[in-house]
Amino acid sequence: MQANIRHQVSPYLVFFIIYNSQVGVGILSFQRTIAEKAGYDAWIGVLAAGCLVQAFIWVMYKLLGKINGDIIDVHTAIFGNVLGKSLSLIIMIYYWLASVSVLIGFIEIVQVWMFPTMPSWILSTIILLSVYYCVSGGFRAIVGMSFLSFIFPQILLIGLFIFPLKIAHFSNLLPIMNHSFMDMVDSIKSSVYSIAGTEALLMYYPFIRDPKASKKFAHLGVLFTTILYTISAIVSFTFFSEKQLKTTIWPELSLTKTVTLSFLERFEYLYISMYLIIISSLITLFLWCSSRGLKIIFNKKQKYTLLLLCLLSVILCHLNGSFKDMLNNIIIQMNLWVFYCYIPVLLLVLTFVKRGKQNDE
Amino acid sequence: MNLKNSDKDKGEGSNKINNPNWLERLSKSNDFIHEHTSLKDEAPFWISYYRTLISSDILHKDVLPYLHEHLSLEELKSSIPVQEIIFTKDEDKIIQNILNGSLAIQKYQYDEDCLLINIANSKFRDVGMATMESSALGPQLGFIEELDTNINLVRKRLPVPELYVKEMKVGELSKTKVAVLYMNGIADPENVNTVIQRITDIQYDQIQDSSYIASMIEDNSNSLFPQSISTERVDRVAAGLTEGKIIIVVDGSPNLVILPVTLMESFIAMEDYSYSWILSNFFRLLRLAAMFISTMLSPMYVAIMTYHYELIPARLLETLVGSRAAVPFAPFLETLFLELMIEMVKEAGIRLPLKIGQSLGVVGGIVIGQAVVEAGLTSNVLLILVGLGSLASYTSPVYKFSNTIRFIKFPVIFLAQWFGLLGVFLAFLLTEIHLLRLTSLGRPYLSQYPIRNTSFQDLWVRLPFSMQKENPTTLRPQKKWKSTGKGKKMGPANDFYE
Repeated sequence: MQANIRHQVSPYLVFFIIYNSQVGVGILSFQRTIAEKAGYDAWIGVLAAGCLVQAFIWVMYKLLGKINGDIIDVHTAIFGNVLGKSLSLIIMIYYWLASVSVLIGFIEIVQVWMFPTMPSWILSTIILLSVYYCVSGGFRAIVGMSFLSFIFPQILLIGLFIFPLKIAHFSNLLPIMNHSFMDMVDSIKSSVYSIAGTEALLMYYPFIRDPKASKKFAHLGVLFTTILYTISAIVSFTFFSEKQLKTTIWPELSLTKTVTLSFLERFEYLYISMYLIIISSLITLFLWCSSRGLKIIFNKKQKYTLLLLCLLSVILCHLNGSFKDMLNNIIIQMNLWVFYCYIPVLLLVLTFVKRGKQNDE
Repeated sequence: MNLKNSDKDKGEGSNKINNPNWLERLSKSNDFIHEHTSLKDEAPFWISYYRTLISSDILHKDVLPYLHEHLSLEELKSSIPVQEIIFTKDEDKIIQNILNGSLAIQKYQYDEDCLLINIANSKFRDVGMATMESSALGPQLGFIEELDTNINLVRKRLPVPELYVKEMKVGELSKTKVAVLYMNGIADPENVNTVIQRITDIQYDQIQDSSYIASMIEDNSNSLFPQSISTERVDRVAAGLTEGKIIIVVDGSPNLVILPVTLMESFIAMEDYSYSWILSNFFRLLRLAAMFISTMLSPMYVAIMTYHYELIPARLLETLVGSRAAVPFAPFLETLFLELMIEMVKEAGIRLPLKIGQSLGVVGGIVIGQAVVEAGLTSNVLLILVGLGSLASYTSPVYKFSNTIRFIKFPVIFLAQWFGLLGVFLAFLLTEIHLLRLTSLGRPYLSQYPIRNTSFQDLWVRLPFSMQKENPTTLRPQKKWKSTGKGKKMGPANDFYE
């Protein structure tokens, strides 16, 4: 079921949505997690994960193109109303948890680097207020946020890679491929989680004006983020020693300490503040997906589902602590099983169901 | 010889069967005159008019001489040398026309038939320079307070029949004439219909200025950002029309309203087109940077001096801290105090007559500013920042927009005090979202998104005229090309001059 043309966006904007959904707090810390076992070879894992995501994009386009609707339409078409909607509910919960984990991650960064005494609920409230304002502006406003968050802070922040390169040791990367296959698989696994986020396509597909034409932009978007993550990994690997990397929680933030200008020191303050914009647009996208899904599933107004999700997010942020690691584990597992195992199977099932129906006729 | 006398003279005449209602209604005012043109009954014409509305010159020279002859109203109509003459029975029409400066002529006092001759005396200032949006180069002509003159100025620049004018009356009491101008075949008919529909829907007693109409028909009236441009420059209006924009002219207002607009257009001065494209790009970027400076500079100061002084390198920090070592206030209070002071000086400068305003600027800006720093109430670094910011807020060529910029920094200062740099960027984020949601006549207001090809021709940047060939597609114009030629200039025959 395609959305009204007034709410649809041009195909090329999918590039920015994909980019926006993939880049969050993950990019600030993934260098440590991927290098845990694979060491300096982990950047190959990032590239491999990028290929996996490309395949996943292909699967999603195939799946949604058959029904020409979102994941809820797919589920109801295969499993009927009740079972289909309850399966969709799991995906909506995933979207919401993903947005909460980003929020918690960012709040943690702010509390560690900028305002140690600021309570979580204040930070989550101000971010969610702006998120609510954006989501209530409709999908076009959300895509606009994705676009502007790419144009304004990200282009600027990519330029920062130049500074650490001055004292980089590229010999760190050599010899290439001296880790076992299982180590590489481990780095792929954690990279896949870092560059996760494309699954939001399952909800916004009906809002793309010409989905077929948008496919190449989606692939380009994934390519761009894959390269971005790879460069980021390589820059941190050439900058930090292996032991240092293991104890640095946010390697990318520590990298910005190398930025010194005649009027500017401690660039990370500015960096984190700018990151507010990137984070908000990511949370906006995921909360939009989730609240729209709940709206369709429970037949309630999106205003109320969004408000409910925001309130629950504030409460979850306030309760963080040991809970944060548990949340991350849940999301990693869900991401792996739901999107990389269940969705391809769903595509197969849908293909057979459709073929069966055609045979009946 | 007024109405009461003439009534007494004639007594209860035989014609007083249909006493015209309009005469009763109008004669309550003392400046309304209803009289017989001759003492004898030879040429029995009755004339009625408002003494204060008509030009007695025309009345005596061009109209009265004909009223001494024996003529029917039809004959009068063809003989009186005045352009606008209507023959009517319609009471509403009669009242309207008399109120607009017409002279009503009747054969008998209680006759229904009525000849309306427009001899209105309209006094307006002459067409002069555009004072609010002045420019060093380019046309200096500005609009005045009269509708017809304003439309005349536009028509002179666009002498084509496709320039359509749609006139309406708005205001229960003021009956203000409002005209909507657009180029047929270029402007999107949907936009035109929307504007006309919204203007006809206005229910209000009085319209004194085009800004009344502009704020009544804009998409979001709670927004700080004006979703239309008010201009007094003729060239801006004419250029807008050719791109498919819609112009609203209001009688009695020297500012014409341009719709729909985008945010970026508030940074475009008509003077840009007088320079080389490279220079005009520089000026556009300068204005854009000025907006950021004016809204971000003092909040940044508050944020950095309150929370993040580590952001400043040690040597620069010495200067900053040294300058405010003697200041007894927190940076927030210091900034708020100085910003409010500057705003007060500006406000007083605008309200006062020109000559006093100038000297006030000197007193307020230089004397008080210097004294405040010497007294140790603010740091002189802050004085520089605030002065720079307020200077920068006036670089926008659109006056309404520069006032928006003036206001915006205050909430940002508060956010900076609460959340530091995070607050400054929160303000940026909220503004960005607000601008994304904003529309002007249903078209996106933020020109940066969605990207259009034409935005690179003449919006964010201005290319040379040979490369500005398309009308801006955000307005959905019906005519795509500005220039039909190939745009190749006659150059030298060879690659290089020989």
